[in-house]
Amino acid sequence: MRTFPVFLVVLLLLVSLPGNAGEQLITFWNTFGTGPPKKAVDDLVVRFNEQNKGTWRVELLDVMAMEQKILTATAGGVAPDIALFDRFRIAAFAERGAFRDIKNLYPRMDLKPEDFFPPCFQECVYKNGVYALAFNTDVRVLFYNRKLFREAGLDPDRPPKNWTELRQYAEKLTVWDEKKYLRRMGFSPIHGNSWLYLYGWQKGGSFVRDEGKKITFTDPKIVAALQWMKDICDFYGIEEMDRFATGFGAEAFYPFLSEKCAMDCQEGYLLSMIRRYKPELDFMVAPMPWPEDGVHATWSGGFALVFPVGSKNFKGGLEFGKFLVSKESQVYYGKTSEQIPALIEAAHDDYFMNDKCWRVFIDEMNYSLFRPVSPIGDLMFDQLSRACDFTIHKKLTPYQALAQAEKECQAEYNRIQKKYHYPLISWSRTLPWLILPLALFLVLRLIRSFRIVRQSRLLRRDMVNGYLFSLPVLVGLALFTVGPIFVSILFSFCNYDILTPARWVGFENFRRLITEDPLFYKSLQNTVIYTLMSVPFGLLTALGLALLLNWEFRGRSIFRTLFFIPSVIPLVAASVLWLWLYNGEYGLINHMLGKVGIRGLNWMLDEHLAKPAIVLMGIWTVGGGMIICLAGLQGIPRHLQEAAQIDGANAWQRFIHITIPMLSPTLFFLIIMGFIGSFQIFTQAYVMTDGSGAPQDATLFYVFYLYRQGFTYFNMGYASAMAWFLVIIIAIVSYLQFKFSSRWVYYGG
Amino acid sequence: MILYGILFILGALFIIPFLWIILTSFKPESQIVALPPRWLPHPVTLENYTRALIRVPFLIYAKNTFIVAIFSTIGVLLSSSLVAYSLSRLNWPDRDLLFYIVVGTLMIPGQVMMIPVFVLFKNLGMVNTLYPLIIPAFFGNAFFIFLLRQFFLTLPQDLFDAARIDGASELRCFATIAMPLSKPALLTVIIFACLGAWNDFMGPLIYLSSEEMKTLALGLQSLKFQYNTEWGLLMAASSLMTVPVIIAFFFAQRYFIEGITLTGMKH
Repeated sequence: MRTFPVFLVVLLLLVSLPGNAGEQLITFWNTFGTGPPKKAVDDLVVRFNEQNKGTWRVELLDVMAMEQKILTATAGGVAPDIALFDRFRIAAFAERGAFRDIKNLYPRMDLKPEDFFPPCFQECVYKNGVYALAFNTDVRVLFYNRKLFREAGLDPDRPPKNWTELRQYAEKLTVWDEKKYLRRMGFSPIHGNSWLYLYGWQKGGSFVRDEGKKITFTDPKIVAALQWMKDICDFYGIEEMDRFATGFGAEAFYPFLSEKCAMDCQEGYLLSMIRRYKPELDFMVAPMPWPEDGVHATWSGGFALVFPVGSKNFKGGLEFGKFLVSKESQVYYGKTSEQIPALIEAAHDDYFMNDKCWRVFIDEMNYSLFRPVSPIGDLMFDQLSRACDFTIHKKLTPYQALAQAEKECQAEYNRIQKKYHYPLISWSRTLPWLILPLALFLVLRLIRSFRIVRQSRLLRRDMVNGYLFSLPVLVGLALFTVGPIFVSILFSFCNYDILTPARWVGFENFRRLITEDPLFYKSLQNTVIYTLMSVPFGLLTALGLALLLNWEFRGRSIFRTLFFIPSVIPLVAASVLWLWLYNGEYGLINHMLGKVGIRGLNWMLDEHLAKPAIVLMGIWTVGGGMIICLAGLQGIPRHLQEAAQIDGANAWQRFIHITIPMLSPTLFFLIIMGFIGSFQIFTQAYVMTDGSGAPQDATLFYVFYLYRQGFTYFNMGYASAMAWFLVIIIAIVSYLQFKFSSRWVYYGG
Repeated sequence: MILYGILFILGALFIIPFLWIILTSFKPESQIVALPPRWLPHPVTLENYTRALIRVPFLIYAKNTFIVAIFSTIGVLLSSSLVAYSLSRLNWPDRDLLFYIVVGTLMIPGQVMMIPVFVLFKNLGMVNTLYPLIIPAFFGNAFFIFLLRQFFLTLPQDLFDAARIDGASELRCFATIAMPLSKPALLTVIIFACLGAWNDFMGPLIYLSSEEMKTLALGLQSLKFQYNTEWGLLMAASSLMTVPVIIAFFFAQRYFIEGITLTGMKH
């Protein structure tokens, strides 16, 4: 039995050894998770491996959260040779030198920039370098339901051609029920795949100028576009629109398919969904209508193949890349994945051109723009989404919202440019400054300990044993906690984006945090409110349940398991589950509320309800705390209770004077841990709001914002500064709690 | 009887969402998004489960998860209890300072230490192995140290004094007095440690990249995508991942109770 673990470890090692000498390995990371695109990629890998047997072999890996994995892999020196990457994010990584420049390698692969659709190629270009091979693309068009057109008295062969018509048609196609609930929307500018980018460009506006150096969200045309979006939303009433939208599903239950939306702005994926789930749908596609005083425009996004710096087999990666963008592969990819290939020649294959729908898509590529290629691409997208969110929910006017977004983005952009003016950190000069004081501190403490303990043999024995027993944690602290902590303290004084060397900026991060970042305060506020709600309620529930389950009765173990189960469910699954329960249309909770006559609430979309919703979910998972309370309750000596009973104390008195005090160390533990834990809430918010912090920042919690700053916007230094603020706050509060603990916590021993 | 009433209502509230997961995992996709919400699947289908088991190499993930769970639990139990003992039943200078530092480390968001620790393991050549998930466990876990310290503090001093007078070494006291009396707390630690390792997501996400090394939590994540979450599949996978834990807990929970009665009275 004892040799089993050893055997397992050896097996593991054997399994992890590299195999297959002779062929050169090409590591390829794929980001398409399921469905036809994944199948297409899988097939292409198999095909390449067959054609190149003996020379190359592609090892395919399906990767979630590609950006973060590439980040850590590149930083850790284990980057793949080639990877599928969201084109829109390439600039941010290229800025930090994460990808190889392949501009001069195009001729070697028999490729020219003109071979690809302009928006596809252009998104791979950054500051005179080309950092990827465009692989696939999408483009936004108008889908419209011909049957619904007929029902509303509209000509099914005459889709709206401009904004005025779009609005008119939308209003005609909208259906309400007798209780004033929406049953069908004509058109929603905030659902589907349009985004403010589309309308802004159609109006003729520009989001940036000077090759991205100047952010111009407040361009009057863009403001007008946002206003137009808001006007349409006002027609429906935004609360009702939000509620209705929670009933939108995916795949077969996508609103256009279930006819909840008569018109939709979407890309090719919708086409493949219709053909898969509802081929009998009578619909057609057309160019997205543009304003009379505007421009025929749409936009594309997609994926490209990147070649991370530091990969082992760049040459092999290039070979595979060349294969993937060859006409044959691109046509195969297009047909199998039901997406548009980036290679123009492949997109003009008969398969696409002979299909009346695909033809429209391919044609629209001539008018297609692309999101500004910028290292702050993600930030701009987030800020614009936020601006729309606030405008449409009537918190700000279009101009105000866009001005705020513009200010944030411009500041961040300037910061990135200014970065190079700051000095690099020399590790050999700075680390000694950290290590020496620490070592000195330790030595001094040890000397002090020896002095104190010199008199008593008993004390000395305790001290030696004390240090010995604590050895594991002392070493562990040094290696896994204190060491990294000091390094991260260093980072908080730097501008560090993991991929490029850190630069010293002094107190800049802290200053910015306090004076220039409204989200810092908002996220802090959100977190505090959440903590104040979840810790007391959670504790009371845990204690209450534990008390109930401490009594002797039949089936006690079943109930214990029952209450514990929710805390065992993986947090991701639990978050998804509760998102489902809170659903405005299909959710169980609204369904039950409806039975008692309460109109459905927009749980996760209402800024006042979102936090309580998450608190409720937290209470559901309180099983862990319940177990700890149970263990504590079991530890209360029976005879104390009996003695009190004999003396005539009733249940409540016994509870107050015996149970609570004896349980107080446990309760104290739970309070501290509960506080610390809820201050770090992350997963639920991330999963339930898709990483956005909607509605209107109500679920933007502190650690969540920290994570976003560090891993989405690459401001690791800034994120570290935020982390240290958190530490200080928690330290102060915990210290206060400990100080007061002597008043009410009673240690029986 | 009122007790049963309350328990049943609460129990129902708690268990319904979980039942929903189980029931949904047996539904065909069309019934998952239905209005009004359907309770029972009709027909009952196993397609979600077969897809879950085929789509992902479930058994390999399970094996890896077991390995991590077992070894890290052992590590954390041994190291944390030793340290907790020294922080509660021994009296030495700097004892409280160390305790505050240990608890203080709980306040640091994991993301802060993620990259430096990753670089450390990368230099040790342990990326894409299970070591980074197991080794830190042998150096103590602040959460469990805290928990056990609180518990050890409630043990009566006289027991230890008696043993010391009789000449027992500190280690002896630890092993024969403190540990046996702490069965409930230790079992709690075991439960939480196992659970933590079972459900751990961030750790595997960072260190494990190849299919043979992944754990269940990572596998579960791979089923959720931005636009099209396949609910049925996700529910089936969640069930597969959760049910073994529940069964294990149900049995462990019995030992939990037995442990209390076996150790008898505390005084």
